[in-house]
Amino acid sequence: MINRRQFINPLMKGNKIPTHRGQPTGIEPYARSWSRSEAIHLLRRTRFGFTKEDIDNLEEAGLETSLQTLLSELPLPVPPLNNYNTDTYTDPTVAPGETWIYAPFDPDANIRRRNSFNSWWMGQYLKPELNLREKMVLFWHNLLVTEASGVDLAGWIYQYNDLLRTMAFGNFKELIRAITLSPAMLRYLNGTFNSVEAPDENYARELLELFTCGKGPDSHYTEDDVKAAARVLTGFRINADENTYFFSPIKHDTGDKQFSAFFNNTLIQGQSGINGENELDELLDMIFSVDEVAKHICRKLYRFFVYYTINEDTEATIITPLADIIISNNYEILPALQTLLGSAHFFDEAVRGCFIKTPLDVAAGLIHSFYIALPTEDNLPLQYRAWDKLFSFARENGLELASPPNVAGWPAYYQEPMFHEIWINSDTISKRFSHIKLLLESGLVLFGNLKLRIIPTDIVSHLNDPYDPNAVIAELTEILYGVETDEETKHYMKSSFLLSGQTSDSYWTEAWADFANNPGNMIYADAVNSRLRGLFNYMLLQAEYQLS
Amino acid sequence: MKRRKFISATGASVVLPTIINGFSMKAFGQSKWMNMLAASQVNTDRVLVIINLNGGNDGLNTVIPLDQYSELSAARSNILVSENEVLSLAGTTLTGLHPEMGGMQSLFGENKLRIIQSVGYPDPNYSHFRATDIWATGSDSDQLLQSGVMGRFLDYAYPGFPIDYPNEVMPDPLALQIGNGLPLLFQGANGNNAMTISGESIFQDWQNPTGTDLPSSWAGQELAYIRTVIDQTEVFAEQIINAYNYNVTQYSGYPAAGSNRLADQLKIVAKLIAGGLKTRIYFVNISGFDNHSEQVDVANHSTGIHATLLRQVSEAIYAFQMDCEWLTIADKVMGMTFSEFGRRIKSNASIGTDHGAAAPLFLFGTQVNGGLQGDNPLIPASVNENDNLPMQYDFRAVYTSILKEWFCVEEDGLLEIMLQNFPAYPLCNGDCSSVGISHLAIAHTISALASPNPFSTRFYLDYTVSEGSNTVVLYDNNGRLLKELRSGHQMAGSYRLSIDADAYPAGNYYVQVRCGSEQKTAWAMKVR
Repeated sequence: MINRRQFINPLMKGNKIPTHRGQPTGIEPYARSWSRSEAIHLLRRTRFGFTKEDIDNLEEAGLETSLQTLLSELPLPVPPLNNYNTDTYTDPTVAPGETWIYAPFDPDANIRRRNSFNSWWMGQYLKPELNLREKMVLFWHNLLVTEASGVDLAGWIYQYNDLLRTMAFGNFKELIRAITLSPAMLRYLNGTFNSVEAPDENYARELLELFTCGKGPDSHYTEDDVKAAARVLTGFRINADENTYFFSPIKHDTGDKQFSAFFNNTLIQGQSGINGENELDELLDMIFSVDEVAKHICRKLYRFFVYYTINEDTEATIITPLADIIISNNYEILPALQTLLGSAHFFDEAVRGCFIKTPLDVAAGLIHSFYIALPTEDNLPLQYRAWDKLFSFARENGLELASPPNVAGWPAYYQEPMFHEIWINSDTISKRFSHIKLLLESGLVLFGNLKLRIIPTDIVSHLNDPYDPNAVIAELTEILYGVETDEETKHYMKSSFLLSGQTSDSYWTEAWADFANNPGNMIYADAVNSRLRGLFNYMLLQAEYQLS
Repeated sequence: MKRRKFISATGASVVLPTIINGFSMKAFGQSKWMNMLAASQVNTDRVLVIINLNGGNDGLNTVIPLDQYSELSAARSNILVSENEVLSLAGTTLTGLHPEMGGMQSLFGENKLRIIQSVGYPDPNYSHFRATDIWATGSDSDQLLQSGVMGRFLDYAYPGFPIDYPNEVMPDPLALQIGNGLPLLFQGANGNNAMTISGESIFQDWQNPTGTDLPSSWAGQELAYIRTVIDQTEVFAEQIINAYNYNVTQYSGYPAAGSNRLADQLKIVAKLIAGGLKTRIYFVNISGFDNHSEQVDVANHSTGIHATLLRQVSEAIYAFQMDCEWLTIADKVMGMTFSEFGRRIKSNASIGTDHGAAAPLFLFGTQVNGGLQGDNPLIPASVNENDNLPMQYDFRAVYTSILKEWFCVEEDGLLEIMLQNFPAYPLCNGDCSSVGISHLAIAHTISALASPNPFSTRFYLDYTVSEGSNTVVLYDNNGRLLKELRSGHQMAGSYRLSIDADAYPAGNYYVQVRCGSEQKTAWAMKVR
């Protein structure tokens, strides 16, 4: 039995939305200056973590080219591989280093393959590509939810994920059609049991309530609509041998399905035989002719990329015009993304730094910003182990990839009034801090002596001017903090940590020069690393680091 | 955003949740760490206050060797204070204190101040960062350690920290740093064993932890939320606030608030101790000692930058000591000062001094065995810019002495913490009889004399020792250890060593005879 989640009200009174010169900023293209801080803001919202070089790239590229890069179609990644053979276990059909995604189901292999998938998906966020797609996969999984335990078969779990990735920048209506027919969804929401004798409303309900129309004040579908939709969806079954669906006419309800005024009083005529399958497309045409669907997806995009406050002004200035773009583009997502991420509203000062970092932002962000060395595919078990450690960190902090707590997704994206503040409580903030300290101090153990560790000089070596302690502090606060740091704090950080209480900047400069000019000299390396470690122990444990 | 006034930057301040089946629990059994504490047998009542003089304090301008005033004059006349302004120390005419150190002069007279001469270590390093790390970790000059002396001590005394802490036996931070800390001093096996607070303002700001400086933007809102949550995880906050707010009246003679930051910090320390905080070690610091130039006022060498700093140190220590006595906590409080190095014997042309080597170290408190430990440093008649004062005492022996005499750490613990064997001096009256340690050192008599002096290729060291194990080492003018001339057991008596310095350049050399906890240094100059 899938747990219900609570009533969602997408319209909230309260906080005024950003304005520029008294006018609320809207979806018109951002036309003011393009500088480093705009580049950083765009990176924060489109990737889980980034490097200093990423900032340089986008700053130089400008807004238009940056968006093109972020929204471009990349080749699909290498799928998950057998990383899990050991002395005591051998996968019956898949050799080490080969992919298991087409392999026949085997109960012992399955649990290992599921772990492999978890690690592998986490690994996708650790890749350096400047692209929005992987973050969109999370967006889609949060919206079009399946839970790994409800799907169970690793092959279907992967297939679903692959579907979300392949269609991440594609057509929303096509995507809905595809997930409706995916083995993962047919299993998760009982589509595969939905029959004319006993229609199961599970998928139909979530299709309307969560995936398409939503349940806002302007969404007026009825209980009868849910029942009717469920009847349309009868007869679809899973073809387990070929990991696809098939249509079973004898299970299909061939009667007529009448929908409410919200759906224009549409009547879908029942069809028998294999033509019954076509009713699905009529259902989708009907649903997608309702403007509320476009608004629903736009609200989801807004809360995922901008902020959680959506009030009457937001509806008028952002949601409605953005929904129009979706509709006029026949539910292609890319134009909406381009518009939203290139809009004056998105780059409004008020929107910067207001997003609380998700567990993925922290896990992947530390790896990227600090250039933490990860094992490569030369040692597959170790590589997956590293990914698994970070997957576990995110899970313990409330974000288990492929397993939201229920069909409504992760509560940070919908649960009012706190929304993303839900990521942070006294338990999770302690865990975030422990993780950071572990990386800075003794290291995150993978196997034995093999660890993930921050080497403080690595990030500083990439800065424009590591010799000047003022520049070091300025660049680091720029990369690590979602909000501006005042001069007093920067001065405090420089003198307490980089200068160890001395007053002359030259002490840092000399120490850095000694380090840079004498590679391999541990004493020089230690002198700067201890100071930087102290600095990062301070900086990364401030609230500012948790903002994006 | 403005800096948080309340810094919870360390492992001491966040309890690691225990993860069981994905659920976080803070679980501890009462008996487990009570056994740990019993096992360590460390004195659980006493407090050490460490005062860092940050930048390298000019020892020769602090503790002034009056018996070599003319040598001092030859070396540093442009900064030397006038002889008649030097404050005298009770019981000796050979050594005095800088004119601005009246408070500490009084403490010396009351037998509450111990001055240890020429504290350093072999092959001293002249870089602030490296020297600071050496003092913090207790490493040899060419050795890298990632943990600090106090970090290791706290690991020994509170095994497993921070897991299962705080608890009923130790509900408070193990160590507390006020203001800037050192990166390594408190570094233990599981991270930093000290908590840092920024200063007194945090106690006033406690009602408003997120500050009034946050803009009313979305980002500001989220920042306020996160800070509030962070404060809730600050497990020691309540303890510290309660101790601070405990109703006591402090000594009225502190310098005016804001006029002496070190005094302000020490005043907080006294209040916390009197308020019942069980923290063992406090760390405070005063910066500005790196006087490469304008160390003194040209018109009056008794005033100027260094003089002001020494006055602040002396006033702060004096007020703090008086306050501890006023608050009746003095018997369990001991203070020490240290600096990462001393300064050059010879002053420079900018009316300042450059980085040096050994320097005096102060210990104070009612339980301290007051007096002068060691001899005046030897100032050669002719000093060049590169000459430095050799060590008489290794700073690690000072730490060892404190651990043994004050905190009653046993021999196996001392080795675990200090990583090598160092002698222990009878610094304090500390009674460790309840844990069965005898702290009385056996008295030795040593003398050492070099001749001829000056010499050209070789010289003799005539020395006397009492029976026991001794070591004789040779240093150059930079404090670099050149040779261990002998080591081992000898019967009481006089001995002569011949030292061949033919291969060494002209300059000043020092031979140190170490016997038990005592030492004597002889000086000889090689000329062409």
